[in-house]
Amino acid sequence: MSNDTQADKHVVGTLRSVDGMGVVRMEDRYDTGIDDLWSALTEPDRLARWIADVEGDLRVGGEFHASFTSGWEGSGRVDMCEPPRRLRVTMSPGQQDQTVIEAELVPEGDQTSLAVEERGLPLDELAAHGAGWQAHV
Amino acid sequence: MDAVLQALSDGSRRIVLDTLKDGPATVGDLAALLPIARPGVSRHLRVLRDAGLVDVRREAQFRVYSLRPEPLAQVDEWLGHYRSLWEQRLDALHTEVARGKRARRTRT
Repeated sequence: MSNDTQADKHVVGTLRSVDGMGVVRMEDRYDTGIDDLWSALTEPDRLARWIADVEGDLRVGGEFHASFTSGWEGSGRVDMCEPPRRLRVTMSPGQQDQTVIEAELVPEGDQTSLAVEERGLPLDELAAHGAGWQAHV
Repeated sequence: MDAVLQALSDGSRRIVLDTLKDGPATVGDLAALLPIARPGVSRHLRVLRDAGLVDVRREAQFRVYSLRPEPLAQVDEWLGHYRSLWEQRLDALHTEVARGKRARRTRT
């Protein structure tokens, strides 16, 4: 592994719109195998250490409650689970602030690349609030 | 915002914006860069103008286009909010992956 931490950073962020809603896509590469990364994305005790406390039914179609490290709290639903490659959940299902988060894992040698897409983000918030984003969230 | 993203989603229009970053250009200059017919170029320019990404002014018999960076700054700001949120999460995932490896090493 390289000692240059900058060279190890692969985060790429892009933005596009679908049906008037924003889609943010982030990509990164992890220094571990696909099964280990999958477990970090799906096992509650591991999820709690990097993104959210989740409680409830984590099977496909099941609903759960999530408290994110960012402070956001709400309900979620597992839409798709294809170990160890694809996972899709809907946050706030059926509500106005509903978003879909999809994770895709691809093995790359000893490493695993991860692409996370969050869809359904409200683009009009920007038009309405302009530079006031920080005050708004 | 949606109009801006739609405008940015096309390769030809991104070429136009990239070119205008270096300074204003006429329709003729821009058309020379794109492998499409003139009416297509005009359509792209109209989309960019409607999205507020370019300004047009008349100089003698030429129409001169220039970049309006404000909507791009807005997109960047909007993306920046979500980017930093996900960057923190993805960084924390690196930490969790490293922790998992250490835990496995101690067990074996």
